[in-house]
Order: sequence, then structure tokens, then C-alpha cells
Amino acid sequence: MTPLLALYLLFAFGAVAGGLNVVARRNPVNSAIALLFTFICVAALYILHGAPMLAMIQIIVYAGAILILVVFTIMLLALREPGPGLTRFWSFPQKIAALLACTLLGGELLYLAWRAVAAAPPGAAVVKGLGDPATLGHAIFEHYLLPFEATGVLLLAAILGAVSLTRRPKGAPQMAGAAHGDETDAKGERP
Amino acid sequence: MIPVGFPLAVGALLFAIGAFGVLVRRNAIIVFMCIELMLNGVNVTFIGLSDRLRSVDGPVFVLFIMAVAAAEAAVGLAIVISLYRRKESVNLGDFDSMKG
Repeated sequence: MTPLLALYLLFAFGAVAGGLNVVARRNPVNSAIALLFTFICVAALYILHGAPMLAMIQIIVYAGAILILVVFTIMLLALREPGPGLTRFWSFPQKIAALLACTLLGGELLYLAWRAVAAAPPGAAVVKGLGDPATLGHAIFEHYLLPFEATGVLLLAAILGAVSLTRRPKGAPQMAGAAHGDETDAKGERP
Repeated sequence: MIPVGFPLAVGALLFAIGAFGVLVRRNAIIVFMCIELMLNGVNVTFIGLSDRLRSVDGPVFVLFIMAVAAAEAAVGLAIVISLYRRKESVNLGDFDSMKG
């Protein structure tokens, strides 16, 4: 086993263990930390695949933006009790059915992966650096320009949608669960 | 060079774990995080296959998936906040007014 492969297995194990923790933890904050661990391990896998640019974007977008948004939401909602976790898991038949279905799905995908090892053709050496910025930039701005611009429109639509979803109607009461403390309302004024 | 089976296996496991979480957890925020986990599994698969085939299309698609995930995060968490405002809960079992 080469050192590269050993490192890959280490980070792959870390990513899967983090994913299991996301599902199994009772407290959403613990799940978020496990998800952060998974994101960092996946970024390390990208580097080992020779795509450092994507690893950086993974850290910035997933760990930096999405996860901060998730943690911010958890803090904002100020949930009193963690809520039901995986406790009394085996007493719900539909959850056992879900476990069976997902085991089947995972097993099928793993079987396909195992088949792909035998079936995949050798690489044709199209590009040198898989994820270096120059190659990626040429691909995006020459072949994928229209989807790239459409992505910008999608993000704009998402911003507008998020703002209009969370905006409080005029005269509505203070957000539930945040009645005490020194929170400010939507206009930044003290209640 | 890393054999192509490894990234495919990691992607398969992440996707299956995420799907399991989406099906069994009732906390909307954790369901949301499990969806991110599934997207990451897909991304690992894309990178592994494009490393094997030496094609730059995989990383470009991963970039697009990340943009969609960011948009989904913004809208999804906004929905969670407005659901919480309505019922003071993020338990998905409490939201049954459509009798689904």
C-alpha cells in the first residue's frame, strides 16, 4: 500500500465516520460539527485526487458559508430540548424499513463501484491538472459559459427567495421563542 | 494514482448514510444537513471518475453542484425559520397540515 493510498483511506474513513455522526447525534450542534469534519475530510480527498482548487472551494463554500448558515439558524431558533434522536429507534417499523432500504441502496452502489474497478477503461490523459485554476477557468468560460451565467441567476433567485421567506409581515408579533433577551427586530430596533 | 473503486465506495457510503438520515430523522435542520451529506457523496463520485478519465467536466459539475447547494442552503434554512415562526418547532412530525 502506497502512502498516498493509506492517506486516502484515512480521510475516507474520517468522512464516513463524520457522516454517521451527523445522522446519529441527538443535538443539532454536534451534528453540525460532525458535518464540518466530513467536509474537511472530503476536501482532503479532493486534494489527493489532484483537485486543490475544488478543495479550497469546498472549504470556503461548504464549511465557510453553508455550515455557518446552519449553525446560525440553530442558534437563532434557540431550541430548548434537543428533540428526538435515534432513541427508541427499533420500535418504529418504518425506520427499520428505511434502514433496510438504505442498506440496499448502499450495497447496490458499492457493488457498482466494485464492478467499475474491473470495467473502467484506462485514462486517456485529456487534461494534465484536473482541478488547477487555469484548466477549470478555461472549461467554465469556454464550454460552460451559459450554465455558469444561469448559476448566477439561480443564486440571485435564491437570495430573493430567502429574503422574502424570512421577512416578517408588518405588525406581526415578535418571533416565537425569542421573546426575552435583547434581540432586535427586523428593522434593527429594540423591541 | 488512486484506484477508481475507492472514491466510488466513499461516495456510495456518504450518499446512503445521508439518505438514511433524511428518512429517519425528524429534526428539519438535521435532515437538511443529511441532504448536504448526499450532495457531498455525489461530488466525491464526480471527482473520482474525472480523475480516472482525466476529464475536466467532473470538477465543473462539482462547482455547479456547490452553487446549487449554496442556493438550497439559503432557501431551505429560510423555510425552516418561517416554519419555526409558525409552530415553534422544527420537528417535521408537527407539520402535517397537508395530510401527506
